This record gives sequence, C-alpha cells and structure tokens, in this order.
Amino acid sequence: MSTDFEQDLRLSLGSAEPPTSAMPELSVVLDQGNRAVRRQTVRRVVVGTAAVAAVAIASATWGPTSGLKADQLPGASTPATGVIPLQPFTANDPVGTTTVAGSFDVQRRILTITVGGEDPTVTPTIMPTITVPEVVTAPIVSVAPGRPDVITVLPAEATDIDIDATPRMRHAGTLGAALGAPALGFAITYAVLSGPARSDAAVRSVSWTTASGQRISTLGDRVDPVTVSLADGREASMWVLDKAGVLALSGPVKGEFFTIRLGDFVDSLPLVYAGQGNSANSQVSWFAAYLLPAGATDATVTYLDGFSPKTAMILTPAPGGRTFAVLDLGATAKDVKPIRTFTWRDAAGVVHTEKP
Amino acid sequence: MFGIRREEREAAFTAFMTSASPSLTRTAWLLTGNGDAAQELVQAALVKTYVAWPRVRDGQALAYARAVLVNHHREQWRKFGREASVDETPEPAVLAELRSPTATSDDRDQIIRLLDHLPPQQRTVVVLRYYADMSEQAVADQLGISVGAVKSAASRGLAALRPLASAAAPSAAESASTTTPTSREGTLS
Repeated sequence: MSTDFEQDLRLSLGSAEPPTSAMPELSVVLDQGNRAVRRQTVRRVVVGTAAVAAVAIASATWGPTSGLKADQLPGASTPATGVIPLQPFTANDPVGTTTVAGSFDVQRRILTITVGGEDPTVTPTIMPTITVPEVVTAPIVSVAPGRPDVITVLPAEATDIDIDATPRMRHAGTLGAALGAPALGFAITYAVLSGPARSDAAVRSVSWTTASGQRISTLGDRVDPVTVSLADGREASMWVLDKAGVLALSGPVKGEFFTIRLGDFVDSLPLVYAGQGNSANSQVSWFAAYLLPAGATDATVTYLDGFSPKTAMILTPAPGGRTFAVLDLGATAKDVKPIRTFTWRDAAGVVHTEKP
Repeated sequence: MFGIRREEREAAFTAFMTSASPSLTRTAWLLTGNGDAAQELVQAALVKTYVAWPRVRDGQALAYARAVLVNHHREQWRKFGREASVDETPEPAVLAELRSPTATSDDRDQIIRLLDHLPPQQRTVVVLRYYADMSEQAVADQLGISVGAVKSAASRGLAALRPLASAAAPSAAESASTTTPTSREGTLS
C-alpha cells in the first residue's frame, strides 16, 4: 500500500527540474549516432566483401598482433626497422569501452593510433598520425577533428599523467594505462573529453611525474587564445600549440569549434602547417586551415576533381608573426572532397604548391 | 545495410528524442545529481538507442533508452567509483514544500540533496520506483537483482529519506498533524 510519504516522494521527484544545460543537443546525438552506425556498416562491408584484402592490409598496418613474434612486441626489444604493432589497451569513455591500438614505423618514427569501439572488430577511427622524435621530452598531443578522443605521447617514464583541456577531460590520467611503447622510449595515453563530443579538444597542458619524482607540467609553448578577424568581419578565437601540434579555432558562430591537427607538412615544409577540421555540426562547412609564414597571401585550394571552390579566404596575423588562412571548402561533412593542391604566395611573391 | 534509410531513422529518432529527452534528463539528473554528468549520461543513452533504433520495438523506445541509461550509469559507477558526496548536509526541506507551486528550482534541487544521502543502488531503485513508476519486478529485471532486493532497497531508501525530510521540516510536521486526509500538503509520513 502506498503511503503518504511515497506519494509525496513521487510528486517531488516528478517536479525536480534538471538544469537546462543537462539536456543533450539533438545534433550532437545524431552526429555521434551516425558515426557509430557508420563504423558498424564499414565493418560489415569489410567482412562481407573484400575481407581478405582489407584484413591483410589492416593487420599489416595496425593489427594488434599481425603475426608478430613475441620478441617484436614493445616491452621486449626494439626492432631496428619495420612497422610494429603496439600493445592495445582498453579505456572507458562516456559511450562505452574503447580499444586503443596502433602501430609504429620504427624507421620513419611515425606513430599511427586507432580508436575502436565496444566491438573490437569494428573498423577503428584513425587518429592524426604523429611523428615521434628520437627522444620524447615534451608531450605530443593528437586530436581527431570532431572526436572527443585525445592521444598523448609522453616520455616512457611518465606516471600520474594529468591533462588540462578545454572542455574538461574526463578521467584524465586514468583512462588507459600509460602503455604503448616503453621499449621505444615513449608512452601513449588515451583520454576522452567530457560532455558532448565537440571539436574543440584543445589541450592546454599535460602534467606527469618523472622517474625521479619530479613533477613536470607544461606543453612548453602554451599560447593564449587570440582574437582573429575573419574576412566577413566576424571574429573568432584561435590558439596554436606548436609542440602539441594542435590549432583550435572557436567560432565565429557560437558553439562552432574546429580543431586542426597541425604538422602534416612539417617534414617537407617546416614553415607550413596544414590541417582540416569540421564543425561538431555536420551541416556546417568544412574548413581547411593553414598556418603560413608571415606575409603569405593568395591561399587557394583545388579539389581532386579540379574544382576550385570560391573560398571565403581568411588571412590574419597569427601567433609568432605567421599568417593564418582558413578556407571555407564550401562542403559539408557529407560531401567534402579530397584536396588536390593548396597554393599560396610568399612575401617575396613566389608561388608554392603543396599536395596534402 | 542500415535496415532503414538514414533520413527515416533520423526523422523518427528526432521525434522520439524531442518527446523523451525531458523524462530521460530528469531521470539522469535524479540518478547523478549533477548537470554535466546527467547530460553525458542521457547523451550516451540516446546515442546507443539511435544505433539500435531498427531493433527498438514500437512504443518501447523510452523504456529501451531508460534501460540503457540506467545500465550505463551503473557501469560508470562501478568503473569510476563512488560519486562525490556532498560537503554540506541537506538544507531543511520537506517534500511537500518541494512540490509547492511557489517553489523555486533551488527548492526543488533539495530533492537531489536528499537523494545524495542514498547509496547508489538504493538511489537507483527509489528513482525507478517512484519517479519512473516501474514495478518491483521491472526494476529487478532492469538491475539484474531479485524482487526481494528491490523491496529491501526501496524500503531502506525510504527509511533513510523520511527522517531527513521530517527532521528538516518541524513546522510542516506540526501542520501535518492538523491536516485533513484530502489535504496532505506537508504530510511526510
């Protein structure tokens, strides 16, 4: 029999008013949901059709074991050449269990990290690749545009890792043990941003404890956000973390964020950074962003099909005296096309053509 | 491949989410007591529901999403430990005051402070029984525990809440002794 107290409790619980901020956004849910559906679909396609070839390529590239002998795994010995898989580890994010795996090209020192889902056989999302220096002394951060995942490469000795990010990190330092490749001289951590999966995964600092117990907390080149004026008169905030290899652009529309993985061209053109970001809202155009030497002008993009969109070019002074160019690709996430070339003119008038 | 076309899925899910979000958000808020955590919880539940949408039976979407939400909350609690307890004891409050038409949202937050005193399982049972209005059997099925455990948790939860509410509202308790059966505002037990 229901008591008066129970009735009052029912009414009180029913009248509780959660803060309006607790209500999820439809666009974010649909975006995440469609991404998850896509991963399932891709996996089915792989399994159902080109299974042999796809699996062979995948396992050779980032498969967790791919037929390697035990002494080839990190922690045993450091092979001199070849692409070796890293020991996968699992982490828990707000949407479920995530498997973090990857491979390391020893000769080229290129680290490729993949983030999977609850189903370990689902085709994982590949994070932006990282070029790892011979000796890791500062943190290197990899953020995939539009995803909440943050990969950090740290010195192998790092413990008690903490990440200060915008938006706040959830379970930073505890998600995924600092596994990875200690025998290779670095450790990899995985963390996930709290709240809705937005693209402004801007890591401000990374802290860790060294083997001697010293606490280090820095990215070394933290740059406070600067306000940039866009071509159409609107303003946005931007900040660049060179060592982290992250450029983040906030705005101009409220709630619009872009995180751009820098460094794609670093090897060949140290002064030119490039990356591509997309908004959390899939209906918003994709952008290409470039950080160019001071005085650069005439940045243009040409698609693979030869079409050159009428870009909303934005040139503005960027931190370090450089020039920041954002080009509206005029395409949504649904129909974005690969970029064939990117050209720009330096201060001396010389035209440079880059192929991403 | 998707079972249904993406546009159809999005359209149907949008309608569902529009209608179900308030209830799911309130459930998440009652379970967590934290706006950010509630948002994460609801979002995770809705994303999983969206993925499973072709398999969700007509008329069962809300129940499905709520089940996902509760399971996800329990998983999170198990993995990441006990929720942070409040530093301060709950402000004096009576349930009748909380549902008063003149009550402010701050007043209504006090129900959260009361719930914060309950262990996770008791809190979950209380929310499912007395907010979601689920039967003891349904709660047992949802949580994977026996009906007896549900009864026990509900009983202990109410026993814990009652003195907290009563002790905090002496004036209301006094007035309760003079109210008629048809006017129970202020009555706590």
